[in-house]
Amino acid sequence: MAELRGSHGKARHHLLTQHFGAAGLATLKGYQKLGGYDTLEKALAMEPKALVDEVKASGLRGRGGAGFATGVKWGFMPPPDGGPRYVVVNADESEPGTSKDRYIIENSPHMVLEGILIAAFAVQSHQAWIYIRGEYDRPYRMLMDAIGELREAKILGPKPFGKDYPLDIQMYRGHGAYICGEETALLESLEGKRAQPRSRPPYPAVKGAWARPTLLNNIETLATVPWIIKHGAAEYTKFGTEKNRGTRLLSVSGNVRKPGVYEIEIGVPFTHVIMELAGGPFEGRQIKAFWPGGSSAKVLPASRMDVTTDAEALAAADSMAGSGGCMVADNSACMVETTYRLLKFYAYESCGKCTPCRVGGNWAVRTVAKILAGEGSRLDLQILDKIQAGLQDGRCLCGLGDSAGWVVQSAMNHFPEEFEEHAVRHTCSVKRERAAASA
Amino acid sequence: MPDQTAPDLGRRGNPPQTAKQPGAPGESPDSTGITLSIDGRTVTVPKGTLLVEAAKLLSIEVPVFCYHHKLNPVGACRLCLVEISPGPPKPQTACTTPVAEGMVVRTNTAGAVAARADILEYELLNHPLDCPVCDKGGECPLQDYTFRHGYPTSRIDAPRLHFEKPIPLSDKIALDRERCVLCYRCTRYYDEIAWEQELTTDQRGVQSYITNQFDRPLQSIFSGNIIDLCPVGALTSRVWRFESRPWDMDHTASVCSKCAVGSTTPRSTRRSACAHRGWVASTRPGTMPWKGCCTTCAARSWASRCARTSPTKRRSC
Repeated sequence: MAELRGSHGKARHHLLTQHFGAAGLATLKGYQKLGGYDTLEKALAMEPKALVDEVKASGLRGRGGAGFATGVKWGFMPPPDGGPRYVVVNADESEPGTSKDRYIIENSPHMVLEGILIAAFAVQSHQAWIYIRGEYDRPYRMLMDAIGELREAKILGPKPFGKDYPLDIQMYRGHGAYICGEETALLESLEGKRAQPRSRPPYPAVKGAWARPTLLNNIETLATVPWIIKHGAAEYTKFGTEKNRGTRLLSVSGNVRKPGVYEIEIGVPFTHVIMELAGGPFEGRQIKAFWPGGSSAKVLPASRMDVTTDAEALAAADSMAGSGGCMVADNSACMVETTYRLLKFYAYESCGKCTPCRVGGNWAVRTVAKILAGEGSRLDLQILDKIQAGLQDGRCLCGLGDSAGWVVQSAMNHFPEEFEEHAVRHTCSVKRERAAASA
Repeated sequence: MPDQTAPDLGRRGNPPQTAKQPGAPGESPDSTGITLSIDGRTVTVPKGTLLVEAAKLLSIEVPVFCYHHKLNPVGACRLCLVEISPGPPKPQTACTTPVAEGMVVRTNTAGAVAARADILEYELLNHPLDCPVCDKGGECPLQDYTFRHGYPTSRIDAPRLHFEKPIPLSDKIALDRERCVLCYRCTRYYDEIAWEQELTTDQRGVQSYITNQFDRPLQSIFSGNIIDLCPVGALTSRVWRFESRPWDMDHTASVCSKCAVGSTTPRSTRRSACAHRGWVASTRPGTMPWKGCCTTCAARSWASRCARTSPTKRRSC
């Protein structure tokens, strides 16, 4: 049994995590005891179009980072032409600070599989692929076991629940690259090529895996689908804000007392998430900054903790809801050092296909390293500002470059005095405070 | 493989040559194709033409490294950013965007100009700037674009990244990884035209480099073409390295005599002596793009033949 560091048990807004922790939930028997796969049976009796409409009506939005309306995405799939079409599930959860997909898979792999099969039927596909990141060994094995159980129970096979509609799920393990979370790079990797994003259009719905129509969804998105089909879209729209329906899982990490994965109703403020659910900062410390949606979302200072968790409010606060990885830093963190570490990640994970991300990320790392080493000047701050501008606004082929730019831009925007201090006066007040505290 | 439904400019035929001035007699946009405006000038091109080709017809330079009209577009170098309306507020790559009716393209807005200058600055960040000894110097798009589109001064004082160089890819081709701008023309040529698996990319991010697969020397009979394809001096002929500067050369269109195909190939002369530089001309616009031509032409044999040929016979060598 996975250690439960996060939401579980009965609560009004625990749609996904309600049964987490129940004995035997990871097995087919245990899952079916709690009503599992009834929804799939119900869905297979429905018209595929009705399923798509139901998801559209629920207002569910993708939980992988972009927040695109799931039902609309399903509707983009062209009508069947007799050839193969795929559902590809993005379980390459590599965003720093995000661990919600792992939490879902490790607690209830069958919930994920049920969602995948419903989606496959809804878009008239017979074959689903789960692209899981290579480091997720335990989730991989749990999903493999669950798929084995489904094959044995003939739910996966030529006639699931007696309906003449063959369904199959295959697993594919990634080899440890952040870029594989980007949908087109994921498809390239799935096809056995170098994981580099493709230029869009054509979008995956038209030309995805092996140049066939492909639906790409995140684990959490698909895990939500069985609940929506079971209880109806109307029930789901009772949760969340007007433009952001439902609940979502936030992985809270960093300098908080109770890091974990918490299911929240969309629209609650981050004060609730950080100070109450995650227990707030350690004794004698104050929260300084937080990344509301994984490291790719722009950092916000603690004064903006009143912002709510819906995408619109976060966009208005010049950040984004992203993948729901809420990282918290307290006053022991130097923002220049933090920026350096994040930038190093983005430069290291750049696939090298497009010029700005390949070169600009590395240039930014070298510039921040120079500033951190006490060899910087005001000119270096100007160069850093220019580099981040050169990484954004469609200059790069995919979102990775933009994210690297946002890391610098938001940190320099909200904590200019720290950058100034390092670059011009070559000191670090945070480091001084840390030394004084430990002395 | 290119999409069969999309017009395949890359594989067969020449770039569209149907530039028409607006208002020319006897033409309507419906019958001839799609009319769009680039920098305030209108042009009518066939459906499916890429913006970069349409701009070429108006003699508007949209700089490109990764785009080549015989290869599938990838949008990797990001140098061809232009602003398009209607469309997203971000600049778009002209090399991957097909034309649309009524499209208004601006290549000279502040955003597009800054985007190009920034990308060129990135390209030059780790470039060794050894132009004085580079074979490409004088006919190098990176030089030309930097003069025309880049920043006039350099802000780069960071140490440059270094690679071991030059690496022999075969007995005829040398690779200088520091000069490489990673446009992937050479690897795409292998994937799309030669259909062979000899050239690939290794590592990722700023450490990416072109390399021959499994460290085996290039064997392909088409390998010589990548020297011509390379937009910078990264892939050079080992036979012709350091032999001459481009401005010393005269070029004459000629026909290859080494096999029965008779493909066009440029003949180059310098100070009354014949010099072989070009490989197969099929990569140049307006020529027969048959990929199998000139397979037996090895630069070494050309060089030795040319050396034996008297100046008076240089045209026929």
